[in-house]
Amino acid sequence: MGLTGFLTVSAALFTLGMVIFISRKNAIAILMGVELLLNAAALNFVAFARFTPSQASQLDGQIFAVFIVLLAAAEAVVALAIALSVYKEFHQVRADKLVSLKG
Amino acid sequence: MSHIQSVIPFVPILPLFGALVMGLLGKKIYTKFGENVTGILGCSMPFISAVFAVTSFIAINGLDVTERIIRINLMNWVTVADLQVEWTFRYDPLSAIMLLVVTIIGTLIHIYGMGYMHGDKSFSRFFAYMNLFLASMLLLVLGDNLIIMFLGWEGVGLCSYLLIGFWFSEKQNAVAGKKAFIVNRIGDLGFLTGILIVAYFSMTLFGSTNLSFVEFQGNIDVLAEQTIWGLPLLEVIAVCFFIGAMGKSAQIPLYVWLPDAMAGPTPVSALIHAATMVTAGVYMMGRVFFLYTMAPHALGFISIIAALTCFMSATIGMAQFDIKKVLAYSTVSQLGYMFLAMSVGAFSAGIFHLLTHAAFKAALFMGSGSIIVALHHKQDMREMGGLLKKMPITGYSMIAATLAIMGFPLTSGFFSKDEILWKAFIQGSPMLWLVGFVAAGITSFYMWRLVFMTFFGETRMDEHTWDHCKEQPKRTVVPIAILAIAALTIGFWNVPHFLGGHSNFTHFLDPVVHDLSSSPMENYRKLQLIKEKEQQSSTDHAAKSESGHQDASAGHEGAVDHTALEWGLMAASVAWTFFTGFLAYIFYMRNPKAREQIMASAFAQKIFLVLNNKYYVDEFYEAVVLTPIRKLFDFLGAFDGMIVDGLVNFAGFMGRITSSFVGIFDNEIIDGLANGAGWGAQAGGKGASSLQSGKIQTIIGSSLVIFIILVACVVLFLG
Repeated sequence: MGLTGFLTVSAALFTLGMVIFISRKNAIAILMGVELLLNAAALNFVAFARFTPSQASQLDGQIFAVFIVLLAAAEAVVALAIALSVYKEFHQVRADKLVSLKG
Repeated sequence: MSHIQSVIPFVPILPLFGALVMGLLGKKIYTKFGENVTGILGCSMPFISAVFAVTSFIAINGLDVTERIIRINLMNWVTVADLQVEWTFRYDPLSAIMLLVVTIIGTLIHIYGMGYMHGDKSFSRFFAYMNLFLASMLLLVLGDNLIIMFLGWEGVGLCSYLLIGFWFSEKQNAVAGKKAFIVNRIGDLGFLTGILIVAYFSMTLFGSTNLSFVEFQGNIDVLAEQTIWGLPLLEVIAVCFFIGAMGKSAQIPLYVWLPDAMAGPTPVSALIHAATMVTAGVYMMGRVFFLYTMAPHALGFISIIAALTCFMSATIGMAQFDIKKVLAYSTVSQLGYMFLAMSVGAFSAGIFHLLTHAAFKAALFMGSGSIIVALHHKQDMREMGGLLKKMPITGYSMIAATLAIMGFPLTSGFFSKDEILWKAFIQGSPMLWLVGFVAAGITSFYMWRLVFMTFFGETRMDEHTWDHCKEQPKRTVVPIAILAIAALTIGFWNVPHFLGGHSNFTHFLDPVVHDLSSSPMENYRKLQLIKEKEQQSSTDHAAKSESGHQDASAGHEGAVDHTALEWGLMAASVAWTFFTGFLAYIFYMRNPKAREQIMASAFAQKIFLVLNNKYYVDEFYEAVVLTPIRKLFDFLGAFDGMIVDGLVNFAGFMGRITSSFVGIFDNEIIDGLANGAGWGAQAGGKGASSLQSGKIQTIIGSSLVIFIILVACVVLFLG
């Protein structure tokens, strides 16, 4: 199984995440789309790390993947906290109704 | 530090202080303590100054002749590059005499003023001005350089103006003050021009100057070789200085202010317009005698002016009825004598006449003031007469002063005037002597006319005035009497050699003022000869020229014995003044009918009219100077009204038209641009704001689209 298979799965994940992100109205669902986007990127890193020709930096991509997992966890914490606060303020979390920033 | 050095600076400072006190606090003192305290306070400062002047005079007499020039440097004043003027006083025999005259007569007149100004509501102001005048006059006298002298010169002019117009609520007095000020200004311009020329040449020739008289005298030989405007420098300076003297000392053509100055209170006339200020010009000439020694042509010019003034004003004096006007013209005439003496090189004689004139003319003015007060401010002699019985002290004092001014043998005027006439004859020309001689007779005539019309004969005043008129209080008459005694006796200071005296006064002045021993022209030629010889014989001419001066001016050797001639001239003038005095006696005392008969003829009437109208000089000035000037001003006014105002209005009109165009442009174009910019920004903002929907998914979607486009662009065009 070559690099292309990994990249194909990663692109599919990324596209799914993007579609969810744009189409879903619920903020929680949008956050889930974001998780998919992050995981697509992490998969890319790991795949490139496995197939890199360089002997000196075999683990760079793996470490980046670990960082992304950590980042995703932190993001989930902050984003869910924001979602909770938004719910307290507006009593709903529908992204298309939250338009206070309208210019 | 000697006595002189410690007290002299206070002599001018004390009256200045008095003027400050009187000027600032006088009104309060007057209302709180009354007239006597104010008056005594006003007199105290001049009195202390007089005491200092007398003690200094005694001290200077005790000094060796060579040490009699004392310069007291107080501080630096103007220090600008080449000009280093110091605040220095100079006490020498010449200023010593002037100090005596100014302070003693000044004090007496202050005391007299207390009586004269009795009941005047501006009592304290009078003393403030008088003190200020004394301070300025003393500054003028004591100044060691031309600048300080000029400062005093202007100061006395100012005080003269203030005091002539003292009762300024009457327009005539204010006008007289203004006239005096303006006429003096013309003279001052001449003096100032002279000073500036001296300063300019001193600075360019010697690098720096302090304008002191010592320096001026030391530089005179170098300055003598310079020319300005193609004329000898010293002659020009001498004439410039004399123009200053003309204004201040009332010489033709600038004498017209002095008779009008009689509008002021009589003590002012006595102090300023008879004894001190008007003699400033004579003093100044004495101070710079070394300049005039080197300027014989200027002296020739001065002698003509002086003789003319002397004669003309004496004749005017014969036909005046206002008692003060007679004395005023007499003053002008006597000043003419002084300048006559100066112009023939008899500097000490001129200054001696200054001294004697100060005494007798002050006495005469104060006497006339005493009469004026007694008669409730009547000054017309036609309404007087017989006053000797009522006012004996005033009367006898005035008669004594009249004897002095006519030159009665052994009085002061006799010695001083005779000296002048003699010098005019021997060093000037017989013509000068003749004019002076005739004027002396006229002097005697008008003075006796004044005395007879005022003190003798039947009274011509109304009964009420006659009953009320009485001798003035002691504070008024005692100063007059003192001055009258001085007028009789002071002449013995300068008894000439041929009468058995020693010319003590002349010798007293020797350290500072050297008389010429021959006529100015001859003297000048002699000096030139000495100079030429020196240049031939020696290279070290700096030291020699100093001695050359003294040789030329002090040398009496080889003089012909003129004793007989001197006696003859003296006898002639005494006889002549007696004769004219007697004529006055006949015309105004014994036989007035004779006078009326003579006066009845048409010719005599014409002469009288001319004299009574002062040769129509005022009218002449009015027609020749003032009317053209007024016409010029009218013309300038019209020019201003039509052309200048027209231009201004036209410019304003053009401005209005232009600005209305600009206004339209501004409204349409500029405002349009500004509004357009605003409108455009508004519209753009509205458009842009619709992008900010606030919907996060729209934003992300559009970002994605833009990102894809960008990537596509990069891949297609750059990749």
